[in-house]
Amino acid sequence: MSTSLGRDRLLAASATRRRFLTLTGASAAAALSPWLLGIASGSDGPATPRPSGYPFALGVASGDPLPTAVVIWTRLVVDPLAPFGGMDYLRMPVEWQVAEDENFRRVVRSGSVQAVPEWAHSVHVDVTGLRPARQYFYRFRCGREVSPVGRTRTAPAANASLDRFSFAFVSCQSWTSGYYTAYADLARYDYELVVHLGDYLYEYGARPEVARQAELPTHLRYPTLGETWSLDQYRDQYALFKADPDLQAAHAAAPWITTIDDHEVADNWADEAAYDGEPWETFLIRRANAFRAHWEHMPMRVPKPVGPDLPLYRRFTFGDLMELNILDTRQYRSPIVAQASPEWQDPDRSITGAEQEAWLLDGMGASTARWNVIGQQNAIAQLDSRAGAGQTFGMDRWDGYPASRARVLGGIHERGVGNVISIGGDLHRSIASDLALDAGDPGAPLVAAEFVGTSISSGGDGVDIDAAGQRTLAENPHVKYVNVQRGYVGCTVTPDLWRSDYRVVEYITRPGAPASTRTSLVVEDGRPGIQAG
Amino acid sequence: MRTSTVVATAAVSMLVSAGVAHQTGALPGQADEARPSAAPVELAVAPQQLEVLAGLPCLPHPAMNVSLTNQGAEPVFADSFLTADEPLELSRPSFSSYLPPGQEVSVPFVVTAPHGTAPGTYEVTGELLQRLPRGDTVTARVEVTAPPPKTPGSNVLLGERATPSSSYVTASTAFNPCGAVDGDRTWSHATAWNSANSGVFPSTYEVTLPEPRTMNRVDLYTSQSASSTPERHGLRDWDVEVLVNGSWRTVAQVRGNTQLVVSSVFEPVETTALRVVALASNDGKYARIAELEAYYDVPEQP
Repeated sequence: MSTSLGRDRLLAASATRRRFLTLTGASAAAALSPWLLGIASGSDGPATPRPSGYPFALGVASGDPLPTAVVIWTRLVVDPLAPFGGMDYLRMPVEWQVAEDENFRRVVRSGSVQAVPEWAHSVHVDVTGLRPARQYFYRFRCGREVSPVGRTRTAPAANASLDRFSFAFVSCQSWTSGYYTAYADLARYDYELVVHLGDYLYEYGARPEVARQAELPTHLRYPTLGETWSLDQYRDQYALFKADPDLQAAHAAAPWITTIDDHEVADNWADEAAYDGEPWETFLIRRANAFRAHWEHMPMRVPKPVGPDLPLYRRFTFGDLMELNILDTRQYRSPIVAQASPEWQDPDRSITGAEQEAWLLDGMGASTARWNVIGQQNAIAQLDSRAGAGQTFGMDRWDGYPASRARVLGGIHERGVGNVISIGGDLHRSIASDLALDAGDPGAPLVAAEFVGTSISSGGDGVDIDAAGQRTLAENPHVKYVNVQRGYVGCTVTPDLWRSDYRVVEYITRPGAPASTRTSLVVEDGRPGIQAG
Repeated sequence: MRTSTVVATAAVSMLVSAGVAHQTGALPGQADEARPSAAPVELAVAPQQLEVLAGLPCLPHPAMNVSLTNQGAEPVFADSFLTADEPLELSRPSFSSYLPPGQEVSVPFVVTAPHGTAPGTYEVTGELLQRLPRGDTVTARVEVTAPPPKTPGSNVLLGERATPSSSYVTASTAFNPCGAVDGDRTWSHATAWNSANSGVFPSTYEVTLPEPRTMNRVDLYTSQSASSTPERHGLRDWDVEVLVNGSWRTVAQVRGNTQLVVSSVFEPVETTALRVVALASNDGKYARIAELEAYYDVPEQP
């Protein structure tokens, strides 16, 4: 099997590495340092196993920032396209450092951990004892090899008065659909945070129609023997996606907070129910495989999955300015039903599950933040896609769970929670909507504003607007904006104003597309409803 | 790729950092992997013996199964590795999974022998991965046999390697890239080819031959099913090209087709690859080929 693609991409990643490290001001005089020879560390005896090559081919990442802590991540892989990343099935010692400066002259925390093969040589370190609202730099070392440098940032102290916070949110990054040009754009800006709302991975594998024409090893191609199902296959897909230099640059630029949608496991799954009819007994094995690989590859603080269970919903506070409730609308949802089914309107149906819903509403009710954000997977907004009379809804979205939507929006309204913003993904299109207490009642009070971001790559090059987008605007007066290009959303939050900038790229089936801000939309403090920016 | 300068930079900083308090903090649960337990997992590869034809990668190949069974009382994960004697190729090099107690979890994999593989007995080995000492291994035997020789009247494309420019895939439907040279003229996902992207032409379907072969006729079967006709969904316009001395040469052009099967006859040519360049279909959306065949019709002797 040819590995020319892997070689090309390793070379590209190597170029990124060199660029970053060059900035740190190299000194050739240190070439004889005992650190370089790998003999300085007492525990690092001659028998210590080492990778057979450069082991940071998947880059570095950080995530889940708290005021005094952040998780830093890497996974040792010498060949992203080889089984087990080309690593021997042995423990490998990994050292890490966190510094205040990118030259690592002021290292504030450091340590060592063991990367173990049972967890795919992934490394997660919850670095504690940091100072709030500070930028830090981090890196890893394994044997003689040093990782690229990542930049991260702690959250502001819980009640700190904050006059500005900027973050980006993203979703849906099908590798086969095209290039991650949007990530290259994102990495150029100093976002303090990146939120990923799901479909980081696709279970289809590398399809033969790929925009990125490539000769991949058989085990990465689709359909060799069907979809990604086993743990080795999910790991291989993560390695393929994460070998991308633009994705690595985006991870290295800021801490991420991530959650899942369906494709991290399988298309349109719901709790224990597979969409393709797989019996729940084996689907849960698949889910356990998918969750373990997901945990291995994400810079998350959440505990390791236990079998097929991975609690992902959690809350982050950024001073007195913003609180982010990150949801998981897959793992606890009621089954997806047809719109014709009487079950559709069943008041007991839920997209979050009762426990998560109570957690969300209780937390939002207790919030003292100026802006209260719900990070969820798709669209809470009602989105009728049928032209003229009658209504047609996507039943995989909140539209398939109207009782859930009514309880969440009603609960927010009852509690008097102000300045609520929903951010979403999944749709492969940008849709900005006002969320009223009742979408069918023009006089109903507005409860929140929703910004659904488009995909990073899924869906191909895209267009400014298509027929479906025109229908969405025509049939749903609460929808203020639709665009069908690829990109992400950059948000600038101040006490007086929320601004969402829709960044789009002209194409993704070829690399290097120009990026621009397609539109800016704002919400004023205390005045729900989207306005032109 | 990496320069000593790069490494040296880091080394300097590592020295500078000496004296900073070390933190051994790992995430909850990370420490529990320090000492792996001897997981009572059984690995098996079945069947124990398999017959494989050398070459013809696009003919359906018999699958083997690799299975992992947790003999203990608690759920575990296990990793296994699959290898084969050279030059056999496996469709998957590893198998790892969550294993509930007592439940056998198995997946299929395909063993292929490249064109030219010497007939004989080969081994496929599965290894249960553990840290030292090495885990258990199991083996299965693969008997490689030579394919039947291609006679002058036989379809020279049958089973040879196919490389479409794209192939239609959704969550529930996957056309087989080999579908147009698998010897089955049926229009179905498993046995036909459908391009991936609506409205994108040209789409190409290329077949590579392991050695030069002579041909003077190409038969193209497009789509027909209970719910469709060639007039509605079939391939309309295409060129047939063959690779001669490294260049593609057009040997036939078909335009305005509404038939299920079209035979294109041309002067005999010796070639190592053939491709259909699909230019238009009757629905304007996808290129569809149920089967593509090429023959050398030896002229009848007077």
